[in-house]
Amino acid sequence: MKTVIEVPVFATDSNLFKPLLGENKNITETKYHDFLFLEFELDKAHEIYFYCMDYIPEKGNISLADKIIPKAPFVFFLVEPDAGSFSETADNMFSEYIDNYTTPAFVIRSAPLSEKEKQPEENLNPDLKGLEIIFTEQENNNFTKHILTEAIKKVIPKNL
Amino acid sequence: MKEVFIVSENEDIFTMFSKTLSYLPVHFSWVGDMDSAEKQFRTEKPDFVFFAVYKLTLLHNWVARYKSFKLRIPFLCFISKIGWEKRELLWMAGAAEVIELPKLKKEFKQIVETVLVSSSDEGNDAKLSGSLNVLNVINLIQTFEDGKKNGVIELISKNRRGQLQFYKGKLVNAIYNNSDPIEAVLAMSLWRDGLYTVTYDKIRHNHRIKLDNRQMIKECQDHILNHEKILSALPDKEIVLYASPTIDYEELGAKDRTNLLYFKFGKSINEFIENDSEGMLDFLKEIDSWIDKGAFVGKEEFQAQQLKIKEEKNKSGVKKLFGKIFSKKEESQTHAPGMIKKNKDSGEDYSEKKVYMFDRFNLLVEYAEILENQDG
Repeated sequence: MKTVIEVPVFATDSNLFKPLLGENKNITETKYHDFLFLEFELDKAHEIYFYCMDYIPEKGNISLADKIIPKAPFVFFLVEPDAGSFSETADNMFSEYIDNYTTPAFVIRSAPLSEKEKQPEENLNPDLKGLEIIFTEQENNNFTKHILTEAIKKVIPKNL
Repeated sequence: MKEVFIVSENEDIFTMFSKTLSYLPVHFSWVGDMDSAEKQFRTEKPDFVFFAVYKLTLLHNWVARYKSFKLRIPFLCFISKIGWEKRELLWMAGAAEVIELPKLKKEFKQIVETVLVSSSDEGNDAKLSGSLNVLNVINLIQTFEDGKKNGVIELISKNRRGQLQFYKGKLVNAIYNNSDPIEAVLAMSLWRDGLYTVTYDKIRHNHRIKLDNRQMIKECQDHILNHEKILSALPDKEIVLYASPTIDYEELGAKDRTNLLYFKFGKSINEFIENDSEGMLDFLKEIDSWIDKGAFVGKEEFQAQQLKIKEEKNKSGVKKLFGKIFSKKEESQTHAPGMIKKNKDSGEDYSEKKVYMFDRFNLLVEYAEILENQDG
């Protein structure tokens, strides 16, 4: 029997989902009307389903997001790789998420360039402090593995 | 119609091309990666080949393979920022153009358009085509009238496509979305960014427009003037407007709801015009009144209102219940349907946050171990 965990992934641009696929042959991709579905087979008994959306669905509808987010271990936000502050679209996406959900969320962005930028809290809108940041290069060959491992590490100690 | 093969591992890039360049008289086909493209090249010869690859090494490999087929079909390369520095080799290999992605939509359109359209000009296409920037719908009707011919004019602008049908030089029918013929002509008379293609035929097209060409042109002129008048009366079109989080969308009509939702996370009026939604003009006419009603706010006010709503949500259950009862009472006294609810002390019915329910943390540990032990 297979065990599956489901992870919603949001991005400000659908091109940002590409690094998730990388060159990993164990990840298959299926496109649905309003989301991209990635199936990551870790081994014969363990799988991860990624539901990739470039918007936060309207709350209140019986949406896919409403069903999946509360039961997911965490969610990811993929944002533009520049080292500056977050775009307005990203900020709005974060606050829409924080307003509606309490599932831990991790913002994935490229490693910052300067020491000052290594203080992510400064870059964040004060309302958005519920989000944690994971730094990684989009060109990292182990992008998906890296962000999953980091997110799991961050979630486990708080809840075990 | 020119045929372009898009060789890419990813279908997204094809979608991007066909969406962004839909107004060009070009047909894009996604032929998959080089392996499947190779099979297609044996049976079909496109007018252009576009290679879109994330990794530069793979792109070089594909270009080398493509060159070995000796097809002599011009090709363009699209690469990511990562491979951009080393693009000289691609030019040396004969690429008509090497384009870095992502790129600004306008710039991207211009580059690809220059390559494709200049090439199509060289062809002996029997159809007559040109830019709507040079000849708009009014000019086209006049031109057709002078020739007294039968035929159709296809208009393509952004993602929109319409058709004008002529019989003996008279405009007899127009097709755009599900609009009635006159509405369709009026809508298309505003198109300036795009292309037209004229095809003469011997078909007796349905006579659905009763107005003669003169009257129709007059209608178009009035419509264009009215459109310009509305646009010039608008507030600063560059300012980003946010739809107030206090709007009660349930009480609005479908068109207003769609148009207001467009501004949900902040958009400028220019972006809204560019989007050209149904009922856009009527909505713009009323924009001042929407602003007066408080439907649109600036960024700071938007954030302040969001914060206030959040505070409302955090009120205790009992207080919230009282809030609900009183807000309903208050609402029935002060708000007509379609009006925007004022946030002030309304205690609106904002539902709770969805609670984090995941509890299989031992399973996560198992996943972490598997990931750690994987190669690479």
